[in-house]
Amino acid sequence: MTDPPPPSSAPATPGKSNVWERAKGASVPHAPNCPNTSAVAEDWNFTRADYARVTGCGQKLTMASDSSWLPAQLQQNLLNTLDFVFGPTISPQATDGVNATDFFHGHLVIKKDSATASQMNAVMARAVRIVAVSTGDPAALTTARTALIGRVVKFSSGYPFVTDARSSDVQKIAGYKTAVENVEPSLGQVMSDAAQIPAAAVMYHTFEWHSPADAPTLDNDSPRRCFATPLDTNSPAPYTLPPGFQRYEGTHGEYEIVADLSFLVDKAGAVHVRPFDSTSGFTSLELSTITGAPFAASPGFVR
Amino acid sequence: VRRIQARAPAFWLTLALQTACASRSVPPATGPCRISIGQDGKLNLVGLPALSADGARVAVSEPCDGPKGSPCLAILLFSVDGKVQDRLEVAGPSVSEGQIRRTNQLLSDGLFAPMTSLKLPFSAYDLNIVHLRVSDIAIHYGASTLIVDRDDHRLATVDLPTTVDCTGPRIVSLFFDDKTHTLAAEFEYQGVGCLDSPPGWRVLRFP
Repeated sequence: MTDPPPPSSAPATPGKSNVWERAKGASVPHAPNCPNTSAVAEDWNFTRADYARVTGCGQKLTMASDSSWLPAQLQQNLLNTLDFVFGPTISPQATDGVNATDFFHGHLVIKKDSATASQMNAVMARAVRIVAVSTGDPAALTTARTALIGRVVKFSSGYPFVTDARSSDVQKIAGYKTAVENVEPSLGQVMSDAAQIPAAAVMYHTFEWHSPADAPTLDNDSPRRCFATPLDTNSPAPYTLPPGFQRYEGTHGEYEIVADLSFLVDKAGAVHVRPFDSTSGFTSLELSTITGAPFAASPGFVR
Repeated sequence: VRRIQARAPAFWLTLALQTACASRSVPPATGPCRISIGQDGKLNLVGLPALSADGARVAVSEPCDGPKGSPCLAILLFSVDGKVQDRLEVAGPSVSEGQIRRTNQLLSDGLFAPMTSLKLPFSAYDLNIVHLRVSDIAIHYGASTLIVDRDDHRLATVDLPTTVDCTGPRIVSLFFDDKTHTLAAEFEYQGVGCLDSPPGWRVLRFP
């Protein structure tokens, strides 16, 4: 498999996305000593150099205004994890950047425990109803997406955000953005409730679609690409699979996944978060509601 | 290998699945694809999945559940249209030396050779989604559908069944033979209540 360079994961029309987000006031205030980032081209690939540029002048990463639906506890969890993954204590580097092929998602998980199983199952069921399973409920995200695109979105049927007789690619993305925003409050509530269950955490993954250049055969379980940030402390750490487990989640895993979130960081250091639904086989659909543009396919990354 | 360990942690089979084997000229007793019993009494599998020299059959190993839930191991022989031709249970409550001999003879007679294991991207493990290129084809898996494309032309599509009691199918491994355009794909169904999961292996041939 060919490693896709980060720029290939950028939206197909990055210029359009600049207008999209900046027009909505998504940029963050600048610290007095920080260079104005308005002239920096937005490619939705927030690199280590971008992190150094933003934080080097005393500024911190912030949550974008479009991400206020995410409970505060999880916002801090994500910000702490970004600082940790980009920070100086990590060596070798844990990501090439926040973009659609490397570091763009996390899983809200709960450690399996018979004492909390009923609570866990309840929040899992609520999250599935909101996002992943098309129940026919018009409020469910996948139902709304089907109505918007005119068919069930599945990667074998083709990428959905294309211009056709129905509407333009950008119009479809705008429509999906509305659908995503409609479920964010209820999903945020589920996430907030899940975060109160003991041993809840967010499991973040980096190097999703490619391995680091210096480790082309990096193990799936490598703590270099797996980071767990418990919600009771919001203190991130590389995740090492404990003995006796084969995966971090699922039947043979330590955790169960309640819900997923995806994110990008703009050049001003503002973090944009969306729900994340990969059941279609695509991983960038919700990211397009941040950039306002479709993503280009590349070897090893089919949008 | 992982699945067997998961199903029965104390299972006494050790599966050494190796893809780098000797050539097809090796005598039967030490052929490139074979099953043997080690000195420790454990079972070793070498060179599976494998494709017969005439390109007509694929042999794979599959863990199974025997009577009363005791673990077992079977060798499945697929025709390249994806149908199971034969099933040889080589181990159940005890190892069947007769079945092992029969299987080895069959692998030897057919000059079976190991298929090439394809490295799956991390997304397979994490999100159960695969997009990779090998030779001149693109292999995709996601949303319970396996697809093979060449130059934007669809060569093969396999829709895998889903069940109420099982999660998945989760893609586990892919094996490929470039010369004959044969793909063997292993999937896994999981879940506490997943007692009767659909078949785990799929074999397909495309133009």
